[in-house]
Amino acid sequence: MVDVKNIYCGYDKKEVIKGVFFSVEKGNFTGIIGPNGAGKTTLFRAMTGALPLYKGTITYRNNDISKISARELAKDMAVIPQIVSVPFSFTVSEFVFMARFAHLGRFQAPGKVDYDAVDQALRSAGVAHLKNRDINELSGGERQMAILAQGFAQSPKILLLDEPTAHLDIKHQVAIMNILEKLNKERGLTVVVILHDLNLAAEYCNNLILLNEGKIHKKGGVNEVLTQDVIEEVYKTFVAVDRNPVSGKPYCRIVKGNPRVIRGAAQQR
Amino acid sequence: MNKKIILLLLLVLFLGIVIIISLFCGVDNSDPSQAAVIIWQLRLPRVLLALLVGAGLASAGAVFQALLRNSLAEPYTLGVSSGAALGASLGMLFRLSSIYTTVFAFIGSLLTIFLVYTIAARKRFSNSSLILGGVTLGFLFSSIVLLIIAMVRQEGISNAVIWLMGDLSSASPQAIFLTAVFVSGGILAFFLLGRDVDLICLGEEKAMHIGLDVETIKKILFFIASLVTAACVSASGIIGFVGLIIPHIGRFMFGPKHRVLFIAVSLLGAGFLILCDTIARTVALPLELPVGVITGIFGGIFFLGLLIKAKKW
Repeated sequence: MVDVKNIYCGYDKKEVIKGVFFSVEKGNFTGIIGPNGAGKTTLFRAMTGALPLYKGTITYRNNDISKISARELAKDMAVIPQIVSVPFSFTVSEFVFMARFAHLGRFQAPGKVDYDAVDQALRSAGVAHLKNRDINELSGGERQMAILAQGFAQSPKILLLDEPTAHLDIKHQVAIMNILEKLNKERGLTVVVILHDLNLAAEYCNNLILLNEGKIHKKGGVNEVLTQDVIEEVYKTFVAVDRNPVSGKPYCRIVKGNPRVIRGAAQQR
Repeated sequence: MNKKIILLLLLVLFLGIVIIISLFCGVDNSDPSQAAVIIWQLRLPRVLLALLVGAGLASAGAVFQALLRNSLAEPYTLGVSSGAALGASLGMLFRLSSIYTTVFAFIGSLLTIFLVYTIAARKRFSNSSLILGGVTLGFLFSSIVLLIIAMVRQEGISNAVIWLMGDLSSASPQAIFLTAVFVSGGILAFFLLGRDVDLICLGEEKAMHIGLDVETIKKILFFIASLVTAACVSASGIIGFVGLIIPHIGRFMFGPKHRVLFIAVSLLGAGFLILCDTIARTVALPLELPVGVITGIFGGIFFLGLLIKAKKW
């Protein structure tokens, strides 16, 4: 669905992404992980068409993304960036309704399709009861759910999210990931999500891309990417990787202290 | 939704009442034939200009606040008014008639729009380039205006000072016509672009992700809002407050959705400015006060009250 072919991009001549290749297949649930400064958000912005490339191409359904108009792309692709600021007091339903922009002609009044899409999005994100509230007066978790609802109301075929669970409690983290999984399974929504929490990524994603210093360090299934050696090499942090007892997915435990000493102790045991 | 329509109808009623009051308020003249002349030939054009300028500045202010995502933005933020002031004071310096003051002011503001546009275009039309470029040019031109006033101590220059404080009394029919064309065309365009303006409030990248061609729409809005401002300022001088505060009152009453907001602030701005102008020419008879002073004093007191009372902000 999205093919990233040998791209180089960055800011003001400073190359951040250096030769990245990968493909996102339709219906995939792909996680992008990596340390701070690895280039996750830069790669993400390139994939949304917001950041011009120095070299290489990104295609969506075999069309160069830089040549697709914002309007056409928005009909298929919804993007949830890290921060959405809303300077005025829009209500949640007004805010979510904005997502129908690309589906409406300039002189076209919204119709049943649009109202239905918005209603369904509000319900999917569990914010239907907040629809008349001022978006800026919601709690952090509720607000993020409203932002997610706006993404759903766009009726996308692919959804790109940049750390949608940052700064949220586990209830909201899990709620967000559950909704994404549900839409992915039930409606075939393709999901690409940047995550910092390796365990959240392990639990929900079926593909991982581990980025380090602007390059792909490893990509593949969660079991291939989330191994002790790989994580230690990239994050320079000692971890013990075992299994989540319920799901059987890899689970990374952080361990304090001097890695070598602890590792020695662990090996002796 | 129905509540908003009723509110809008009430605003139309308010505007109608204000127009009637303004037409019949002022120096009492017992001679009926003269009264008719005063009402139709002196007061009506003035009411008309106040209506146009009030609506134009208020809606342009709402556009600039959304475009720059800054609730302190107003039609004069990007220097258009200072360019107009420079043009107008040059016109007065050469003792040209009032229509030339308007023309010179319009040329001055067009020049400013062109310069701000050229600067911002080099920076992909970023908000900081628009604001910094506009504010700096504004300061530059205002300083030149003050320089002219300071150096030329001739009689005619006091007209320039009055013009700087806003003056609805001296507009020619041509100027009113020009303002009518720009303001009505501008408000229509704003209304049609209402959804686009809503999106721009979310920031450029998010707006793009929802499908807006951000750079093009920003350019269009910048141009139209600047032209509306230029026409208003050229015809009536620098009337403050309307473009800054009326959008806030509009959002307070109607919420931030821009299609409704543009209609609301146009009605509010028009009614407010007609009211202020009526006060300006009647409160200290036979003296006439500059309308910009009244908008600031009455508008300021009213808005401070609202600010303290309202649960918002």
